[in-house]
Amino acid sequence: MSERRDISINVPVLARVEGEGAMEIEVRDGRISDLKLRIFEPPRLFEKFLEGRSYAEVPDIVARICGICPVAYQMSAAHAIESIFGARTTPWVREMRRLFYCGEWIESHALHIHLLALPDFLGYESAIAMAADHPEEVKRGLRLQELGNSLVRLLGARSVHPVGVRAGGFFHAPRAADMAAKLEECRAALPEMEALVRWVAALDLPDDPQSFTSVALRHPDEYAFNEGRIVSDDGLDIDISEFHQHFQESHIPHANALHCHLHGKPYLVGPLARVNLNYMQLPEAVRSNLEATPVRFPSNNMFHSALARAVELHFALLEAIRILENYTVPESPYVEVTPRAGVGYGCTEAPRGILWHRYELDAQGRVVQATIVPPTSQNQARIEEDLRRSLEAMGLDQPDDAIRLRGETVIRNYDPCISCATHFLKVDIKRE
Amino acid sequence: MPHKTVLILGVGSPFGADRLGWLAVEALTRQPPAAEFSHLEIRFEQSDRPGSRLLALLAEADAAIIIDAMCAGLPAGSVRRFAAAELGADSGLMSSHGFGIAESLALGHALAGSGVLRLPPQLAVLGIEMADAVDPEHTLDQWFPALHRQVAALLEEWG
Repeated sequence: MSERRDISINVPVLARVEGEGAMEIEVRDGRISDLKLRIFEPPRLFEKFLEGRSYAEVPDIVARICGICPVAYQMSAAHAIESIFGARTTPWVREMRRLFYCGEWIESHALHIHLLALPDFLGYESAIAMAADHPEEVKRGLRLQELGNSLVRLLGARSVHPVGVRAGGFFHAPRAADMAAKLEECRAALPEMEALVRWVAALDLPDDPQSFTSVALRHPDEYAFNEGRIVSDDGLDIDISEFHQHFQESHIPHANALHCHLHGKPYLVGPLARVNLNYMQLPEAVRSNLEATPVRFPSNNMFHSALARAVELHFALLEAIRILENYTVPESPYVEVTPRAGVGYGCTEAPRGILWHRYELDAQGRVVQATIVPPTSQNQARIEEDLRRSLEAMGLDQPDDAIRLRGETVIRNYDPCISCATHFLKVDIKRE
Repeated sequence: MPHKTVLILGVGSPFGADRLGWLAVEALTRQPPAAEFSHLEIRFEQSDRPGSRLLALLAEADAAIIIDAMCAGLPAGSVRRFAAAELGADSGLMSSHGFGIAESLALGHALAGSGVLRLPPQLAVLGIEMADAVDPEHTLDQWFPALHRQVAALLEEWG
């Protein structure tokens, strides 16, 4: 008979940007009596910083919120501002925004699969420890991450906190020769990306089926990046302006990030939610490559998030190739916008899930009020729900280190911005 | 015979106290130690927290000097040279995304050891101790002469 222990696992600091947090687990009489994913990062205050600023400054300010997904912040903001001004962008701008997003998904997903999540699945404490035994996989991750970064640089001038975005489009159009060279790079990477999907599908991922609600953008004609309606697999189908009629944000004592619930319940955003909801909108080449593996979507195994990222990498590369093949230098890379007062919304698919913005602007286009709901806070309640379920399913009679590692693995699987910190956790375990 | 290429790379944020690496490269560009090292092809670059991209930047150079802000409890403006192998969590170099210079170089060395990546055979890191609540531009006179000497010494050593 296994011993029933009362344990307290306290992970005091998840020290990194985009989320400073901790994990606390209390076990009493063989069951989890308390579990908290604490996010104690100081309030970001970006929404207050934006007040009084011109609409023209907004894309550069919000890009500073995240070093990994600045494109998402810029895209949600630009769409919201343009909706207030009634601006209609050109097909060229629309395509380049999709290309911009392809770059961000490629750099972010490649980083997460290879450097953040893979050590968990291959049994290493870090990518550095893993690199000696799996150098080709690590190098592939770095190579693909750099390919994504280079796509972001084409339109944003730099990959971290890019500066190329303006309301109405982009400040400059890339040269045709640069785009042609990038097209060849993308084509050259395609076999590797196809192989990556099959390779991730063959990993010995934990088999952990569970019930959860997926939420994502859906567009009738394409796999959504920038536009669409917010849908769920339990019947939600709303305009992005109706977000707060269905999603409730609330303060909780143990987190400075707001918890967000859909009709009072946790939900999932991000790659697995997107692939679950929009699988049939992926190109046939992506689906047939995946269908050569035993894995099928929709999936209720949370650890298929890693495979969903690989699938989206393949999609993003194909989409980038399609856009680059059709590239022409436009007469102007933006349309002029005329400020006017109003309220507007933007919701786009950041690598980690939907990123929702709402702005109220005055007649000069100055920000009166801003609201930003990032994907990590939307997933926080789901992560806690998953942690509780996964650890109890694993068995709380396991050694403390095993419980801690499984908890960290569950958190990292969501790719929250705090996930990169969890490799460096110091854990104090108190026994009663 | 092709010139030996030396990358002098300032890293960190381009803003606030963390911009010491950027300022250092700007100052070295204005006052390069290159006159006496004309046989070297010296390339100056700045990078906003490159993370693992550092390895791609380094791969093209024969030698590299990375300059970063540090917070090691030394007097403000102190300049300290590190060998790549010396870097660790207690080196004081700041990492804003958790995958900083030390982690990137450790990863690079692991990959280089497996033969899948090339790192410059000659590589050094120079840290400049930051001062709290002081515009680093105002402290340039305190640390730039020492930094310039260290860079010149490295070029002399590697030349």
